[in-house]
Amino acid sequence: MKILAVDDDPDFLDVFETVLNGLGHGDVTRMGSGREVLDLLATSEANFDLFVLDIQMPEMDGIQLCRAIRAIDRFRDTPIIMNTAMGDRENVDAAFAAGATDYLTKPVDPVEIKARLGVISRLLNERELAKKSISQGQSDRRTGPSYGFEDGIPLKRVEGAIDLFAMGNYLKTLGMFRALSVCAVAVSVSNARQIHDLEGGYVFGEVMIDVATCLSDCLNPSNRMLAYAGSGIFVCLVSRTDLPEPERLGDQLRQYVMEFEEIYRDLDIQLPVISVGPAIQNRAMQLGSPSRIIDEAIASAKSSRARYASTA
Amino acid sequence: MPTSVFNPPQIDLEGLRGKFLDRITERCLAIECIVVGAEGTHPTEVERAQIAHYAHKTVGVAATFGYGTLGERARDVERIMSPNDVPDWSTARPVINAMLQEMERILDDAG
Repeated sequence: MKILAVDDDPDFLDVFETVLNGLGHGDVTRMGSGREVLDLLATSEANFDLFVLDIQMPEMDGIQLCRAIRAIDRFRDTPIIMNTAMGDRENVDAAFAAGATDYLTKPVDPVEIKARLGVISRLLNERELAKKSISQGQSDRRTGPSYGFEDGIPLKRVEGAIDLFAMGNYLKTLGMFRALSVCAVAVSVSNARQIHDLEGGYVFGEVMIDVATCLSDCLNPSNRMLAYAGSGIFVCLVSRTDLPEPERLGDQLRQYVMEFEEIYRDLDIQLPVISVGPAIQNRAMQLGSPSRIIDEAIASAKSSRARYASTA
Repeated sequence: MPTSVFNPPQIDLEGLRGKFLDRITERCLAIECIVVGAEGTHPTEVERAQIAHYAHKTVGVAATFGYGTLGERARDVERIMSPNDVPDWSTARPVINAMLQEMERILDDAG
């Protein structure tokens, strides 16, 4: 794994690089500022599998750098871990909104780094396999990536969309009280399977992006966060104070989706049928695994999907 | 041999410890200079930012070298000197002194 570590503190980089080397990651490039990084990425074809960015740096901070890296097409999906001594909500939210994949808190802990890099490594392998399966499925009637029904679909054009993996990491960084203030709501496209099977993987991907755009428009712009979980299911994280009634969210979303009706009819594509699951929130006894609310919301959407399938 | 949480990775940081202690010596002296200079008055904004910067850098690695208490003291200083939370100098100074004392203790132990 090719790693680029960025920190303005050479002592920290010495320690971090030594730890990475000790964990078997020998291909580490180190840099001291955001400007250096952007110069390198702009002037060469240098490629990295993982960025680790300090947040608190002079001139360009790590969050600005994260955003700038994400704007470079070839690094749109490259994992970015933010590394900082600060753990406040503002930084966590800003980092994930800027496109961070995960978040580490200083000081350097070899056990934690080993665990996080192990997860990143598995994520990279899964993406590689998904890319292969997508490139093998290019027999669509329209050109573009052809997604399997359960594949992840990049939602980079959608405001507030992040990777499902990053959403889980975000929840883990929140701490007890913050985790208790957030709910997960799953939104399911009940006829997703039919759309996929009838229209193929490319059109299916475009339809899911349309639904994600409508969903994003339904959420509070100041703190919206949504992710695609595969199989026509989306998960959004909503503050308990902003929590809309599922019926109201469903009605608004269906109304936005209906705006596509004419276009879809012209293209002879089924309009997505939307169903919104209950808000799932963390309970004090289960705070050891705050990201389970995502899994529960997805499970709830799948079970209502099964009910739809049996009645359709 | 693979490592796990129950068999934590053994990373040899001894080669870097001397450099870390040198850096702590430099920071300790620099912060003491600011504190002495502010006697009877208070440090400038630039000096406060300098203290916060040294504390921030110390938080990043102290515990990794086994100096967890220094990491905590430095975190207290970073927090109290952050731009959003600048207290009276009379409140900040004991927090800074606690970090300096821990730095001095570590340097004394290291001989």
